This record gives sequence, structure tokens and C-alpha cells, in this order.
Amino acid sequence: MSGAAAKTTADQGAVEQALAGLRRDFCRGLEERICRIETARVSLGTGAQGTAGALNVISAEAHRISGVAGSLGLASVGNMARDLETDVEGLPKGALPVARAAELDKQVERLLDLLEEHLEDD
Amino acid sequence: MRILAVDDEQIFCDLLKTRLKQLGHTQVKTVLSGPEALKIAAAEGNAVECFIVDIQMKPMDGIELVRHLRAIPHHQATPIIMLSALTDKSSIDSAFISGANDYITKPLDMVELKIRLEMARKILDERAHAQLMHEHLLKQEAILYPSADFDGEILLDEVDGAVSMLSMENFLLKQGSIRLRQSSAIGFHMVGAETYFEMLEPTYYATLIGDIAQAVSQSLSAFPHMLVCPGSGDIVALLIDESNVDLQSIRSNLEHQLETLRPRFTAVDMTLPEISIGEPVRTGLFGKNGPTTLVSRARRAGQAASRAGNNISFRAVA
Repeated sequence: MSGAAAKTTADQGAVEQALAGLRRDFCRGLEERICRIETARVSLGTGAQGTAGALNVISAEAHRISGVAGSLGLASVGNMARDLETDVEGLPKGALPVARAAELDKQVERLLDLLEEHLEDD
Repeated sequence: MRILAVDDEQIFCDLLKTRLKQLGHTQVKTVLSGPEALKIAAAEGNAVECFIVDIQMKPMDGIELVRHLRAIPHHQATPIIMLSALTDKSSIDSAFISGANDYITKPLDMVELKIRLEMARKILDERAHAQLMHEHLLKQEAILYPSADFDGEILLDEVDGAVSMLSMENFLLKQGSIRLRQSSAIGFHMVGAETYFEMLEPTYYATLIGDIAQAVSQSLSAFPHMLVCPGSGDIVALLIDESNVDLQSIRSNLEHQLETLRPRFTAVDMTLPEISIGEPVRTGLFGKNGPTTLVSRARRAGQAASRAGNNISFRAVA
């Protein structure tokens, strides 16, 4: 292997190592994110004001998770968070109809389950 | 290139730094908030050569940060690349209107990041060239030998909504064809611009165009818009998400705005220019015209209106 090629391989190795470290950090931080989403999820059915606040938290968390996870190569987490964010943004303002609230609750639960799986990756 | 990246996610900042390093950018600083970025931007003078700014941040979002950055004199022209999720379409428009030059979507894609940074480098080079030309002109003026490019772009840093041609083309290229169809471009032309150009020193000519562009911008204040001054006395406004514009009302707004310039012109005993307004142009859904031809087609429409004598002229002073 030439000197230049060896350096490129070493650089690539350093990048991969840095990315693996960041993925680990992300997984370590998932517990806090899960807690925030879970707390918001509980407030989903507590009237228009509680629901609005909860939706804001869920949307913001989903937004952040989607940006970071997708960029770290955790595509399934990124996509699911992005879909959740899009759906929450598309909801009408005010109290949610019971059926829609139940559907959203399931969607949030699916994301939480997936996040918990990655929590175990740490 | 010295880069300052702003994102409220520490992990994303670290990731961006890693990726930028991979692309050969080692002079990268990251901060977690708009206020921190502003402190660095203001304190370090010209040190930051490119900003990468996340749109969704709290308490100061990326759009507000761009507005503040553009208010710092030495960063009026520094390339700003926004970071956004695909769901942020409307925020992206606002970011461009506030002065951003480009955007990258999250999740981060290495190829896209590389291309966007090359674009930022191009803007930097263009600005450096413009600065050189400006200094060259000032020297020439000192020996009373005025010269400049009448057909060249004039960068209107202080006019609301003004962007460079490169930024506008970039914006147009990134719009989907259906969305682009909902926008329109209007060409404005200063009648007899070449005569003014020959008569005035280049900096005064640029000031004149800037005054008119500001009047145009104010006459369009009801619409989200961007402006460019591609040269030859033309100004092109892109009205975002406005396909049905009432040209008559724009015309009367512009008449009113131009009237406010009267005292400045009469004070220097100068004839006030006439402005023509072209018919709005749009892109066809299946047409052969690419999005960037909107600007040239709007220019032609503005010039055609001028030839047809469809001009706004200042009323004679009583």
C-alpha cells in the first residue's frame, strides 16, 4: 500500500471511529429523550391545552431525533421520527378526536419501542 | 474556509465537525445557540467565512439569527447555509428572504454537504472579486477615469429582500416544478439606464439602482419576495407563492414609493428616471424553460415594457 493510500485508510478509520463514538453518545442520551416523549404522551388526552403542549414536545423531540439519527446512519429511527413529526404537524389545532388520539398514541409507542431497542445498543 | 456551525444539538454539532473534517475543512467552530454565534460573529470581525445554521432552534431560531448576522456590516455578504428538515419548506423560504444563500437537508448527506460548501466557496470568490473590482474602481475614480461594467450584476446588500443572482438561481433550482409554478417573476427596467451610467460615477449609479430597488421592494412588501439586480438597469423580483399578482396595484405602490425619492433627486438637480414594469412571468409545468430562465424572461419583459413606453414617470414639479 502506498503512503497516500495508507493515510486515506487511516483517515477513514478515524472517521468511522468518531461516528461510532457519536452513535454511542446518541444511544446513551436516548433515555432522556424517551422520558420527555413518554411524559408528553401521558398529557395527550388532558384537554386542548395539555394536548397542544404535549404535541409541541413530541414534534420537537421527533424533529431532533430525525435529524441526528438519520445523519448517524440509524435510518429506521430517523424515518420513523420524521413521519411522526410530519403527522403531528399536520394535526388540527385543539383537542384531538378520540380515534386520532389513539392512533397517534400507537405511533408514539412504536417510536418509543424502537428507541428502547437502540438504548440496548449502548 | 473558516466555518461557524450553529445547531442546538451537541451530537449534531460533533457530527458536522467530523463530516466537515472529512471534506478537508479543519477550521470549524460549533456553537449551540444563536446568541453565542452572534457573539463570535461580531467579535471576530471577518474571521468567519461561512455560517451553517440550523433553522429550528430555541430561543432564537435560525431565521432570526440570519437576520441578525446580516445586520453585522462585515457579514452582509458572508455565505450562510441553512440546515433544515425536509418538513421545513416554508421556513426555508423565510430563511432565503432573510439573507441565507443555500440550504442542506437533514439527515446530512456527504455529497450534498460537499456541493453546498463548494457553492459557498464560489460565493466567497465572487465577493472577493467584486471587492477587488470595487477597490480598483475607487482607485480609478481617484484619477477621474470612471469605468465599470454596465451589464454586470450590482449586489444590493442593503435592500430588503435583495440577494445575489447566484443565490436566487440556487433557490429556483431547489424548488419543485409545481411549487415554482405558483411563483412569478416581474422585471423592472430603468429607462435610459445607460445614460445615467455614463453620466454618473459608478458608485453613484449603484446607489441610484439601490434606491430604485428599495422602492420596488417596498412596493412589493405585501408579498414574500426576493430581488436581484442583474445589470443593464434591470431589477427582477421573484414573488414566492404568488402566481396571480395585481400589476396595477404594484404599479401604483411603486409610483408612491418613487415619489418619496423625489426630494433626494431634486436636491442634486437630477432628472428622475422612469421605470417600466414587465408582465409577470412564470414557469410552465411541462415547459422547456428551466427555473433559472425565469430571471432572464422577466428581464426581457421589463425591457419590452420600456420599449412599449409603458413607464412610470415622475410627475413634473409644480
